[in-house]
Amino acid sequence: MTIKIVPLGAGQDVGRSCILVTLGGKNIMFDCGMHMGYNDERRFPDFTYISKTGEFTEILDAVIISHFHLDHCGALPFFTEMCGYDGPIYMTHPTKAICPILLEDYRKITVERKGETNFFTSQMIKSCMKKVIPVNLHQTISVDDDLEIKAYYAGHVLGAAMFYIRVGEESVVYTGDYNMTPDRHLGSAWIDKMRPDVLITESTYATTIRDSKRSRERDFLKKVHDCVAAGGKVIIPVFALGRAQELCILVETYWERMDLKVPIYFSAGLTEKANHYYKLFINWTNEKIKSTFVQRNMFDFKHIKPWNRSYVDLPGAMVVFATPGMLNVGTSLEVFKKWAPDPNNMVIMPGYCVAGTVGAKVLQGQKVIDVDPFTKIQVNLQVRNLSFSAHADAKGIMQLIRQCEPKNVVLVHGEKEKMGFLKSKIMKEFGIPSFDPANGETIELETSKAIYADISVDLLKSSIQKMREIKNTQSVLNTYGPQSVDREMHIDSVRPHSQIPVEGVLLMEPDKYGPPKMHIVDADQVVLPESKQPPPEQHDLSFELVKSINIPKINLDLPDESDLRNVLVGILFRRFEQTVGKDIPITQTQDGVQMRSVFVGYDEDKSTDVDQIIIRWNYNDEDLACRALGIVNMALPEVS
Amino acid sequence: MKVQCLDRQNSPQNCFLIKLRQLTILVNCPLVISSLLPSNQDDHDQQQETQTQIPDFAAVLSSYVERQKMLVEDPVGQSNMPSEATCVFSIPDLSLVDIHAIDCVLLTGTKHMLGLPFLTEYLGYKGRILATESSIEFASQLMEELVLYHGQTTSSASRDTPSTSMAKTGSSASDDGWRSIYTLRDARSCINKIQAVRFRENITLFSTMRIIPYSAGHSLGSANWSLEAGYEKVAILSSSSLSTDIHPAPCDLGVLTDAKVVIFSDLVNNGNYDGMEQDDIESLSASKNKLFSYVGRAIRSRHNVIFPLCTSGIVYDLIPEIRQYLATMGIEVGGEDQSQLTMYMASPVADKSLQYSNICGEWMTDQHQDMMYVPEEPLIHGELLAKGGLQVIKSMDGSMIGKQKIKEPCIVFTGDYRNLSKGPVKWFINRWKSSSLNVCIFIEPDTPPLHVLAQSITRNCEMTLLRIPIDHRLTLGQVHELLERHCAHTAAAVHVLFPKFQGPDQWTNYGNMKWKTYESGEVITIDLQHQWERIAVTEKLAKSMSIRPFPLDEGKFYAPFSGILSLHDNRLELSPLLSVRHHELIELHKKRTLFSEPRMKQLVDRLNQLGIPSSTLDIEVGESSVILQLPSDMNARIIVSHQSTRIEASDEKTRSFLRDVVLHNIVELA
Repeated sequence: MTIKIVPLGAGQDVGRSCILVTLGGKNIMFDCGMHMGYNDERRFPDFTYISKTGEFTEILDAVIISHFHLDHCGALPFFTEMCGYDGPIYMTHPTKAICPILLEDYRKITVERKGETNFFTSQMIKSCMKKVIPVNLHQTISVDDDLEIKAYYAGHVLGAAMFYIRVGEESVVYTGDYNMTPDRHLGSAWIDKMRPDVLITESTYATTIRDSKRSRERDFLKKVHDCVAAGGKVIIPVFALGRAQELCILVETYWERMDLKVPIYFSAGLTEKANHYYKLFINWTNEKIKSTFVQRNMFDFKHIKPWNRSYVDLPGAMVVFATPGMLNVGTSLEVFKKWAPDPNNMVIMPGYCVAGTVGAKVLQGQKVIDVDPFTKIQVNLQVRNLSFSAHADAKGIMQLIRQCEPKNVVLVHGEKEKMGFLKSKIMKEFGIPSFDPANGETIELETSKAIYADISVDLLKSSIQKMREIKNTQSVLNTYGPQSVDREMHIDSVRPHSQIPVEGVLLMEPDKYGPPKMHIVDADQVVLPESKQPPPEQHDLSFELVKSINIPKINLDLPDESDLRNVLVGILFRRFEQTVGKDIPITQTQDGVQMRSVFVGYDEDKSTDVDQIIIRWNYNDEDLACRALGIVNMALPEVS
Repeated sequence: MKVQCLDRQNSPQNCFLIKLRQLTILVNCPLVISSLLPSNQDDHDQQQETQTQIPDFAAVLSSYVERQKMLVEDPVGQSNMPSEATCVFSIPDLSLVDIHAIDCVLLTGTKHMLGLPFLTEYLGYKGRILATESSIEFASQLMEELVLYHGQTTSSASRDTPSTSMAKTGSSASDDGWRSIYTLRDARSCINKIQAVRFRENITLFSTMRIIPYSAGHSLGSANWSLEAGYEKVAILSSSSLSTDIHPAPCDLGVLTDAKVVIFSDLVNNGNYDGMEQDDIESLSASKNKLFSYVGRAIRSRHNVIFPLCTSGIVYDLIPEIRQYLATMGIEVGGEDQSQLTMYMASPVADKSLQYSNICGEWMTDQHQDMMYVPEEPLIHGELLAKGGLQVIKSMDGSMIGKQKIKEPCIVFTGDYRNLSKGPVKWFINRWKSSSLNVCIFIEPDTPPLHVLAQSITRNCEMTLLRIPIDHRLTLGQVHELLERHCAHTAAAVHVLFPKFQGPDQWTNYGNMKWKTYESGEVITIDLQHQWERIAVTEKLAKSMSIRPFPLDEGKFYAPFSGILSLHDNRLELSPLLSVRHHELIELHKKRTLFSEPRMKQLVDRLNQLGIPSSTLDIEVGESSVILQLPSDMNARIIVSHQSTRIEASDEKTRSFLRDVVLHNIVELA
């Protein structure tokens, strides 16, 4: 079977994450984000790729949102309310709680500040969120009879998750954004060794290997402290949720330890509410915060106070956390504009800014920045780049691949050149194919074509039993001594059976509603217990062959005919022992040799001549009998 | 599979040992708590009554009386207490179980895991233990509370390991397994060994068994478990609730889907003290109304109410309900106003319990979950705590209580309800014992009968004691309804096991179900008629098979094959034969089967087609068989009778020729 993967967004790019996956006849959309670098129709993924006529609900089986960042969920209300998708949407509890707030914020900026019309409304956000089915970590959700979803902790922001989906024996893991190093408020991503067919991973920091977290933290605090000590103002553009909380905890504890009095502000009314979410979802933060929250809740900040617009002109040092993180609009841009010309001030940029935003231009080191056609900013303040963003670095990505052992890797959410580097690294280290599709480019991956059936326990038992009989070399040992059994065989007799020959019949019963039912049974058990029919009667077919033989010249005095018979039977018995003896129990009787239903020898009443050997068997053992006939022919050639 | 209930005689039946597919699973490790009263108590008759449950009690007792002298008494109210009862503890009878043979321990709820430290720290169990995340946290709190109330007795000079202290009490006592409580360190180390899981998380054991916890709806994190191995599924239901007006996530009945064996435990009235009082039978809403009216009466007369109950669980529902009831009477809980009522929770773990419960929104009903999205705390006591309407009393230590003024009238929730001579209960009863208008209401269903409790209370207590159990667990009626709805109409037979006295003693058929009760210690063997195993057929083998229409059943297809079965990680896989040796084995062991009998006419026709005219054939009709004599130059014959056919020939060529003639019209599947 084939797994198909098409990124509609985030293919060789960061922003508007949206990846379509088809496996086992199911279509799943991972994430439904917006692009921060565009203000036209390119800001949303091109949903017409899925259906030109808008039949999204019929085509898609599920939409899964990995976390609440807008580049992962920003297009969701547009897709559900304006494009008309009405199927199930899955996200974790914290994502479901926080996502509508960010969406509302985004809507306000777009509609109220930029004056756009034809955008989703608050009501649409609300009705969209009503369709969301919340999931818990590790909970296995069955979307329908075939499709199964399981969420794993991703550690990128509160409630961020990686998703494992499975249809039949095919499976895909989508990581969303994740972080492999625990930080001050979140734990690190973790996944079982799922061995999925495909791992779709982000690759924001495909080429970066960052130094230890602690030294980066120390570095950050030193920069801030130096700046405020010199009377400068520090602006830290952040997202309202996520990184902001970590930086707040960091600065708060530092201020407490150093006993600093310089005021810290946090812009956006969101903070209070955001911190409340962190308090309610403390189970999603890390162990340390969880274990101490009863005594001291880390999200009750003492030093950090709400920002007021008028503070921007206050003299003296201060630290301001302002949203949004990429200086594209809002408070952070406002404050930045005011403070940018003063070289005493400092801006601490997050690790990553989408191309086209003011933040990106600042990061590039532009000295004069056009915010819009009428405004230019002189950038004199100190620019510090803080790679604090909670994405896995190259080491982390390799670590995750090692952890979950995929058969293929697909890279998304990163830049093309960096992906190329990572691709070759993955090939080299793990020897597994990896891909970096562009938006709209389809990747097709072949998976195992094994079929699955139910095998009857009776057949299993009888096959294993046969194997036991074969391996039981004890009788051979007793008769011939240790030399007769070669070493290999001896070891074989004590080794557990891992390779067992099986013979049977595969029965296939087509099912109107699903894949056909497959059963494997013994050839004489062909009627399934479920069927109401009585088992068909078996017919017994047997054979009797009378064979004339040349009596070999034997250097013995043979006074009696019956002695001759015994000698002949003895010859046959030894021949059988040598050839099939180790696989099949053979018994020597008065008149002949018996192996299962096959009898070779003379009639009891000795009515036939000594050169007339009788071979009798049942059709069940036709194949054994043919073998036996061959052996008889070899031992006692026929009269020509 | 085998099921055995390990609880001791006369203890609630919650602990099971299940053997399925060579895996041994232990379900629950509860703790049975019993109060011991000093023998110098003069109401000897009553004491005898409680002791009937535990034979040879006196032996245990005597040692405790001695040790009691060394007890570190609470400074408060010491003089008022004529005697102090001690509690002894026991866990299920594991003496005949090989601890190291247990592959996994499953825990259904907070209350059924309190004996776990004995298993992990004293008996040396080192294997896997699974419980839901929130039940672990609450269990850790309850363990801490138990140790704080009952641990002091062992903190005296005669501190021994339980086994040695039991040895002193005589052999008969140690057989019953009574011991003193574990230490805080044991409890913590035990809690750290439990693997936290969430509802509907699939856990695989040795890639043979799939274990899934389902919400039981009884308390936060309480779980029912299903064990699946191949097509066999065992459902274990314990402390479940179908009530819709309580806070935990509703009971997930998915656990019963396709179950072949269902084990019920901890139903209403199950394992309670035999001396059940009449009012237990009252309906839930009636008991609640009764409870509210008592609370209302006490508060209106400006007196106080004590609820000795578990610090987690039902109390989270009781607080909003009482608050609402009082609001209808015009009494507000909390707030600035002096006239308003305050609630207290007095327990060393009260703070933890109240705070922790409010971050467990994901384990609650949808309505509570919606509160988190607002964002607001899902349980109302969060708001009360913030406003001071509900206050926490951490310790009854004189210095602590002095700082915190208790505003009367008030409602107090205290932790331990089994023993009134310890902890905060004792303190409050002492404080309010003078008036019969003060009420103490026991609502936990497993509270001992009142006359037992009364022994541990100060002699001159006027306070009204009430026992109004609020029990949300499944009733037998509900169980029957569930079975009817989920198990009665399945294709395969379902075995159902009930606690003793709640079903038939022997296997009894009810439609496609078989019912039986379990006795403590009894080993019940159930044949699951395990018929099918899942197997993968590799692409290579699948391609080599040729599918033909099945001759016996229309619409089906079949394909005979031979292959190599490999078993790895308990996964089965069929691949094509590769080695000559395996080919040879298959050849030698090949068994052919025929499914219809040849008809004489068809045989003759076929022979005619092959150039042997009928005139050369000779047919003899015998009594039970027909003999077809072939031309003399062939020197052969075919004997056909009802169920068998025999071909006799004198050379192999003729034989195989005749074989093909016979098989031409016979159905063969190979």
